[in-house]
Amino acid sequence: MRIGLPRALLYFYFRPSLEYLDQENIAEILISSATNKRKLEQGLALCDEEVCLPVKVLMGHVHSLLEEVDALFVPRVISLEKKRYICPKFLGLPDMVRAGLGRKTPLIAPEINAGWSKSRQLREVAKSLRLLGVQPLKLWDALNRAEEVQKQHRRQLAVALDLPPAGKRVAVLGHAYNIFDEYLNFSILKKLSLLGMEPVTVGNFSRDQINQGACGLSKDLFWSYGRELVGAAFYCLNSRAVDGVILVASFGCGPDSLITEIIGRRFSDSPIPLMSIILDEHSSGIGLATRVEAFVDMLNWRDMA
Amino acid sequence: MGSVSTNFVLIDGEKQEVYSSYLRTMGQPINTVKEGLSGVGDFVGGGQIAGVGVTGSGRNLAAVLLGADVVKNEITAHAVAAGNTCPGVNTVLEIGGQDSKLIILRQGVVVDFAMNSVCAAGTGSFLDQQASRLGIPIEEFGGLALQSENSVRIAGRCSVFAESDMIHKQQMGNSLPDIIAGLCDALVRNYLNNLAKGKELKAPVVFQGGVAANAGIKRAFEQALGMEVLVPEHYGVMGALGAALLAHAQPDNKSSNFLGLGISEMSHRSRSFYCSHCANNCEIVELACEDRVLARWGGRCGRWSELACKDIG
Repeated sequence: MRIGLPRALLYFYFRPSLEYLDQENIAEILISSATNKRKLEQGLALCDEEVCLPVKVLMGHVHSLLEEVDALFVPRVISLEKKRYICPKFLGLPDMVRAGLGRKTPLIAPEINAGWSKSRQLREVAKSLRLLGVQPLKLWDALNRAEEVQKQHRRQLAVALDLPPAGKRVAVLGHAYNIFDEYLNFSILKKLSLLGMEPVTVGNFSRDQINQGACGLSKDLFWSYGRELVGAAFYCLNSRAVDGVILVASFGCGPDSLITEIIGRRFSDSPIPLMSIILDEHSSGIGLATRVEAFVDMLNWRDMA
Repeated sequence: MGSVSTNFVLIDGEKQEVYSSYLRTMGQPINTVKEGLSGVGDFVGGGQIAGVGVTGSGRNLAAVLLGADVVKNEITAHAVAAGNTCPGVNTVLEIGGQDSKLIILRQGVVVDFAMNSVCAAGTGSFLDQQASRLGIPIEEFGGLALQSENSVRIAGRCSVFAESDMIHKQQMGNSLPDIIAGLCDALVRNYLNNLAKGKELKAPVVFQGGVAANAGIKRAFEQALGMEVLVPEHYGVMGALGAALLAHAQPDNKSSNFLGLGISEMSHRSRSFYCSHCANNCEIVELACEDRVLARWGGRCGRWSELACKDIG
């Protein structure tokens, strides 16, 4: 039995552990190929107008897998940390997929809830995977190891800010599914590298650094990923660890409209320049290129003065 | 090369502007460039072009067509030009055909900028469209606004709403100058709300771009900011001037890539096609001069832009 895994949304956060599980042969997994025009158009056609761009992209990925898999993995993710939540669109994702694609292909949609005990969470996942006939103990074991792989990956990335910068350092802050989907963001990270900058992303900040930054909020944010962005941005401001910050949000993102504002206000009289970019279905990258190039020119000029 | 106009500026070795022209692009950028270049040729006569800089949303096309030495984004180009014409400038307001920008400089250095995001409401094209709906030449638009004694309130957030508001006010019997002045106020309000949020706008303020021709918008800016707004003499070609200054700043020992004034006489052809190599189906544009492919662009992967340009006889 082959399970389809859309290369969209949370895939970009959990890539190391998902790839590990793929190697472990717990199940036969097929990951969709990178986002392309066909997937985006398909996603637009299948989604309600109101949903945000990354969800539309996910729908395109799911559609591209339909013919080749027996089931789709679209978990119902509610929270990944205790007392913090992720955007409600993740909570309704299995329902949106069913509404868009019908019920022909079975969904594996375990609820993921950090408020639960570990054993309850395992029971939930095991139940959703019963179709595959995986032994719960074997699953438990694999999931624990995958979690360790994920943590180790995070630790490896989080040293970037301590190393000497390769050129000017620019923090590109946004959700992983916007930052690492090169089709959506017109390879913004590569573009910055080509212009002689060293881009860093949220993953390059350690837990401590993010917590340190997020302390600057008068009230803790309950969105996990939004809190990471604010934490990283505020840490940049306090530590001067970067030369500039680019905020990348996608069109129609509710939480980010607030996060962008919170960060923007704090940066309004700071010496570190901040630029915000909104990704949408635009098919031309020229507007983005103009902004990124001007931002880099500005960073270089400031140095000369 | 902008969405609405294509401009040429010639500067001499002392960075002084000696020639400029402003042409409407009219959706035909290649012909417009050739037309503009033949104007440059007439002016230069036997003189020598030492270097070429291009900017604007059509900069990549113009760069290939002319053989440019510098290809620069319009924000940097505008900042350079403003700094050169008005030393000590702290704020640049720029409204062009398709976008609007705000550039903040301190001691001659860009320290912050903003550009309108998704929508082109309140830019030159919208003013153009309203002028033609009212049957007023765009050149007279600003003068009419100045005749107003009591501008009416128009919603400027979105051009669709602005238009229906204008029609509504017109049917109520408000005078045309009052409505136009109201539109100017609305555009300025929209510009400041969108771009100037949280930024300190310090004098001297320079207003440039095609829309700076509109005295109504200039006055609305002055009223909103409570300070004098300067419009440079060559406000409409500041981007081109900036590109020229950037080309001038290139090291002298570097020979120019300029293809020569003769290209205005050559035949150019552009065509576009969809690449079928992958599911992206990128639209590739190919520009050829006298049956020789100059360049191809538009793809995401670079497979077409990297293809050796060979004769396609």
